[in-house]
Amino acid sequence: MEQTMSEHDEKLTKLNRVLEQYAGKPGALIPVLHEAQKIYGYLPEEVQYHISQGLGVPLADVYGVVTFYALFTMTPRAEHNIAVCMGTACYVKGAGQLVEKIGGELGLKFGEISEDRRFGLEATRCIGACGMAPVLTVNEEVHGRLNADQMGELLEKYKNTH
Amino acid sequence: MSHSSHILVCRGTACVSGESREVQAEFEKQLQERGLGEQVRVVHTGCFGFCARGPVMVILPQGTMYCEVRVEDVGEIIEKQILGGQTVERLLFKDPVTQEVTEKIDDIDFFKKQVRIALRNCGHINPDDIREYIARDGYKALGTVLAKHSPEEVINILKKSGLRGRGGGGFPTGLKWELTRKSPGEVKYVICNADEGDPGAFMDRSILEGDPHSVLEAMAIAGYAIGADRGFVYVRAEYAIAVERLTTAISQAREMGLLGKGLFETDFEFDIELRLGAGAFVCGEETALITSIEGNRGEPRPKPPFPAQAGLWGRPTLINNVETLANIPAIILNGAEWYAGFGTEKSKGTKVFAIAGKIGNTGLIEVPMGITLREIIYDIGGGIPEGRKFKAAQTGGPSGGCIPADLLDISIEYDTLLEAGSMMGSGGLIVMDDSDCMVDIAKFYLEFTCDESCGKCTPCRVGTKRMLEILERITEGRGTVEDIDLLKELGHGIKEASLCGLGQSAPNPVLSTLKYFEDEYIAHVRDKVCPAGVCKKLSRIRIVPEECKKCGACARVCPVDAIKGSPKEVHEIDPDKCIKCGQCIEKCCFKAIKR
Amino acid sequence: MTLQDLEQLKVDILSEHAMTGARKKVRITVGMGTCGIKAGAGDVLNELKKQFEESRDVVVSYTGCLGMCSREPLVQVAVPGKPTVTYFNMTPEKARRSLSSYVKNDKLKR
Repeated sequence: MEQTMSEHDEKLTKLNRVLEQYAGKPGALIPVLHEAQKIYGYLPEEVQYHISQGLGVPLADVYGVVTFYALFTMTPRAEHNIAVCMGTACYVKGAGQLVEKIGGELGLKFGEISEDRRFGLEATRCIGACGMAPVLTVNEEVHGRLNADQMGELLEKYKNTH
Repeated sequence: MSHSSHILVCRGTACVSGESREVQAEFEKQLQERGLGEQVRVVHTGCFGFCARGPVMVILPQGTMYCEVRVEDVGEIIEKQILGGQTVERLLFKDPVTQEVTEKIDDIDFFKKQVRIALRNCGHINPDDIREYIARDGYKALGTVLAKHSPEEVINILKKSGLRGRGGGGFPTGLKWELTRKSPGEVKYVICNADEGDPGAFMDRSILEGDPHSVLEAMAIAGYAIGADRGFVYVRAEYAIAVERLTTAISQAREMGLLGKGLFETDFEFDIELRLGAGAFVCGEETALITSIEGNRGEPRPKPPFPAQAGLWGRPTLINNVETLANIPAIILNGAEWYAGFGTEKSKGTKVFAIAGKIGNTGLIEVPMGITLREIIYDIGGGIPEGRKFKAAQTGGPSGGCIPADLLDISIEYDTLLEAGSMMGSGGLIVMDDSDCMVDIAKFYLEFTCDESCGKCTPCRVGTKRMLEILERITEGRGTVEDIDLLKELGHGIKEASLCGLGQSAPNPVLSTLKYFEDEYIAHVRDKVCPAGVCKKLSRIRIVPEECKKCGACARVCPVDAIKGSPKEVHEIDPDKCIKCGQCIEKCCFKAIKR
Repeated sequence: MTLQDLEQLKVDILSEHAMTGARKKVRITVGMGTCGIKAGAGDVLNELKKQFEESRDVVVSYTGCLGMCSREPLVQVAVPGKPTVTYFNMTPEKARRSLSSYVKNDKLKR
């Protein structure tokens, strides 16, 4: 997807505002990265460089933090990101079968996204909805009390929406 | 002055004409005579809007409402309600419609054996409205502490209450506060550890979502006790609702003057900031959490120095878990003896558990320590569904272990659980039935810790990986009997040599399943069979010839054409082709196909 | 704020609540913890808000987790002078039917 110049500028202005707000505060790097990921959707090298300059933190440290925490990502996300909860409760209630089914249908493994960037599949840590196990989220939407047979229908729904 | 009861007498025009002033005076007189003036406060309020049946009055905290109260009734109300705790039926506000049998929530089995202290407000107040918290004595503990107790007294109350850390460690809370208070330093910090990471545990999330102010209030009390004026709540970014409600709660408390400068007209000031985690399990470990707030990779540091000596930015820091904190205002208001009255000799008070897995009522419960596992699973949890058999309960998440069926009557305490090879942990309790393979469960936890190991120290980084490889070998049918000994040896080595709690406890799920379910491991390595039929490469699906009705339904559903047989012969599964998907088992109407 | 001010505030809030009770207000509370929301409590809350928007006798509010995740969404209904009734596994549809028949006609469906 081509980014227009104005879109690019707009994001940069937002990021600069965040940097100003946190400048000089101790422990600012992680909150800033959270904000930056909200703006860009992911944390590409240029953004990390910009943050490193803005906060006066070595780029190596920024990269170190980005790669340490699971919530920070350096690759753009798929349009529909399917995150299957692999918490214990979901696991014993058959999250593995859901993954197998979805993986089979889309030809994806954990951490992969489809070539057309429509679908991504990932494992997520317990989201605390154990009462509804097994659970998965597609983008922000949560689906619970699932079984493998429902997967086809679920995927179909997202295949037809953008 | 703190009053335990309030009598609200309506002084609206209509009620005054019905002699409410005389009623109030009579109450005041009789309470003085009986020496109850200290405990019961009589106040007049504006109109209740129920003028037709005035004078109207309400007794708090019960919220009992009496109508048409006369001076003559005062004695009876004091006798029965204030002293006796009963209601005066004839004066009660009555609904004209006859009342049908209704389900009171306290009567449901699920709630009967529970004692809700940390969860006292969850489900009862609107968490986004500080007024509802105040109506249930919110911030009264903070006010009381600032007005009446020295920091040392507060610490003594906690020490006497016997409260121990509810995040898993079980360290005595009062002692932790005392150590932090005694550490030299001008600047100190309070941190609330809300980085609840154990899979299957959601106690802290529920408290933050349902009663955020109790945690904020307790942090301010902690600040006063140890001499800190700033606090941080480190909460998982994945807990979006909790983050939202905490943000609202902090700003409401600031607006009302319950956080900030000059609290309760003293010199004490305290303010709280939120910090979001970013998806690293190890940050639940206190030194790693501190490193993360400082803006670094969340790697743990060696202890000592303990956070109480040198924590956040090198300053003495008190770290308490959400549930621990939520108990504190209740302990201050009701007294240490009251709290210590729940539980057992060594484990006082209550514990919140998140029960999940193969159990009827999944959910969140708070029970007195010393309750048995059986009571939790069968009386509160409603037993195992689908008529299956209980096999084990996993407590303590990836740091804990499994408790087998013959220990169902174990008393839930810090020390008994440790003796059983598990631990209290933060309170996740996952129930497994006979269709769960214990080797597979152990592998599941190892995958988790292996993935979440921060990589700083070798025993944890490399050791968990090697253990996982062995478990993979075993579940795929390539294991040997020697592997079992190797697992034990590695496990003990990792426990002893790792830097932080994550590594020191990572082998527990393997070691505890080896302790109680070694036969399952042996079946995997020697007989190459997974008794529960979970490990695909070790389970065989076969058709029982005597029960096969030769219908062919199984053959039609098989995705890999592994089932051979014509309508006239008993069908057979080709084990080399079979992928053990189990579709034929579901399809067979005669239950002739078995794992 | 002093401790006395806080006590006074508590009394004020409680008398407000008592007044609401005296005016026979029905209080409907939806459990909006994560489990509840994931089980659809948001839709139930919206439906109830919509349904009782114009009613002066019914207050619709929300609270945190009650602990019975397996039966979410949970809705508690407090009619003055009666024990609080708790509904399990609510849906917007059920909220429309059973709740209004209980609140409006005093018929309790099980």
